[in-house]
Amino acid sequence: MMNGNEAIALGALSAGVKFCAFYPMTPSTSIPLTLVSQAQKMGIVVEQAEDEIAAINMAIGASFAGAPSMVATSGGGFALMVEGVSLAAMTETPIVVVVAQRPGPATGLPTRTEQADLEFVLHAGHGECPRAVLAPGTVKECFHLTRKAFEWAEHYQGPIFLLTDQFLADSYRAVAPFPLEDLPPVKAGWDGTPVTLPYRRYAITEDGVSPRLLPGMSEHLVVADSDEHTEEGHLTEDLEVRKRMAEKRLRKSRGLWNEVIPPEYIGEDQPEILLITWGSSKGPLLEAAETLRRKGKRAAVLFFGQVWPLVPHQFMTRLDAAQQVVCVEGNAFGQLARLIRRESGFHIRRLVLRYDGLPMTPEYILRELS
Amino acid sequence: MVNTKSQTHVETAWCPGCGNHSILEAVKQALAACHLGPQDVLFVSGIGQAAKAPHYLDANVFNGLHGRALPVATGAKLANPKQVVLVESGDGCTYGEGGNHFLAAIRRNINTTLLVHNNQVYGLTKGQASPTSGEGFVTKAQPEGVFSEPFNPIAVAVALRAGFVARSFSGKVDHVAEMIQKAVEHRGFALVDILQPCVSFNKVNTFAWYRQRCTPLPGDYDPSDWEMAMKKAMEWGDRIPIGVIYRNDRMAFEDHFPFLGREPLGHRGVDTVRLREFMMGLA
Repeated sequence: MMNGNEAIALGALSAGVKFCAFYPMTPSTSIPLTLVSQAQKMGIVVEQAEDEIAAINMAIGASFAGAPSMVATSGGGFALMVEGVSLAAMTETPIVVVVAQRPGPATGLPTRTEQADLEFVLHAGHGECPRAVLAPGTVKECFHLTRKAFEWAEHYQGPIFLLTDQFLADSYRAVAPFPLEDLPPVKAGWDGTPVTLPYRRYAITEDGVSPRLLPGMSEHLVVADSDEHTEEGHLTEDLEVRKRMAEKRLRKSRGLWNEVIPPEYIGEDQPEILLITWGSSKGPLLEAAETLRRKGKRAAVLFFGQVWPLVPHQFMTRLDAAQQVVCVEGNAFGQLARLIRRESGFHIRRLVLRYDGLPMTPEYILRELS
Repeated sequence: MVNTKSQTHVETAWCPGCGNHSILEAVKQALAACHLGPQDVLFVSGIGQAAKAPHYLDANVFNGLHGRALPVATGAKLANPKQVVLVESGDGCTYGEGGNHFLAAIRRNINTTLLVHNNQVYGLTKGQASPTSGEGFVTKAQPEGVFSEPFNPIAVAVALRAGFVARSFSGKVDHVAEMIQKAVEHRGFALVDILQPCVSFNKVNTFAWYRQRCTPLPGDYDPSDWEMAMKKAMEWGDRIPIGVIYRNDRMAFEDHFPFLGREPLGHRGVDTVRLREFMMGLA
């Protein structure tokens, strides 16, 4: 038995996390607390920072120096981290950011659940940068998607997000043991052979990914800058360089796009009703769809375990094939539905929304649908 | 061999006469005196004219956000404690935007050296008051003069029993270099607050103003005497004491993690046997 937060901590340890900084905030706190329970034994550093701004900056510093790093927080704490998201993107420093959602705005309902920070996480950080947002639907997915987040953060050298919520964070499930011995950890940085001299931290490359040496671990100097910078990492006002650097960073989006995890489709083709969801509403929705099928309705589910980037050709045929499409989400705006419309042009007209602080349940969904 | 020639000269963005030039020179001297070559050090800085300084050095550099250099340095130091980490930024970045991190870094006693270029004004943004501006200091943003009491970084650091607290003046390059060398050699958090003129935006606290006032501590001064240090820390007026004002031998933060001494965190693998034990324990 483990809960979502424990599965995230386990996934992070398996992926090779070596540094986590946090400021306590419900419902995220049990992630760092789980990590700290293993810290001395596993040789990792978990530090309670003076605030969330310090937490993300510490994690960025540790990651820059070669320790796979993460932060975990909830909406209000993440609001404070947002400038750090931009810093990770600009300095191209890997970092995994877990946002365990709870109802807002402001302090909201601290011990309840909601899925209302999708748009926030998607847009957090000034300027433009590549990112991926993973939204596990089950405890098991918490483990695997955390590992995926570390892999991508390391490879694409920037912020990768894991979006959960209080419901998933605190839900205990029986999970079959993970084959830990077969799951390799990430390797921070690059082995440094061969280096074209002088070493350029932000060398322009075709896929936008520059070989990342770690400071103090080779004869080469590593210079990172939050200002726009040259390939060597020094600040610049050269606007031609700016354009090339912006394009280099954004080229990493193509790689991320090619790796997007397709949404999971459960049910027969051409259903009467296609129910779409993301994150922790997966379980309740699968159960609701099962009930509908038992009552003779041809119901299918399309689950997004990754909510950014969205790749329309992965799911458009499913949307087009259904007689009716309904999006089921734990927020008041229908944020995934809006995002799907923005990215694909498909307008989901029927929504089942919940924002009373309670988890989505099959009964709630069936009642709203009837 | 490491000497000041290990560093190349780079054109800077600073005004002629800016105190930053001599602080940069002092940093180079101190690194040479500590036998630290470019690869041996990591400079972390924030944003401001002072925060550009590491770009003019041959070193590993992380030039981060305004006010946030200390947390980055803390993370980097913990990830690789063998790396010598220095933080270099101005009074606005360190004591204003980053004030909470300043307090926390002192309390942790993380083994890094913090160099603060303190010119009592915002230079990069063209002349607003800084946390250390004197009461009544007139700027375009404070036309009636500053109403707030100035922040006294030395007194705050001594009050919190920081590991190492020194003040210097950019007009005395050798003194600045000596303070930086001692700070780097100190095992624990070390603050060097360096007074410097801003020739463009501070017409009150000028080079001459500091030179007249900055007075080295007497030869028999004992920096381990906390009460005396508090007294010295409060001196600001016709005489401003410079030198090592306070020091102690508190345990450095990273020494609380016994496993850190062996190798950088990133070089450690994953102990899957322990991890499996942990996983099965959750069941």
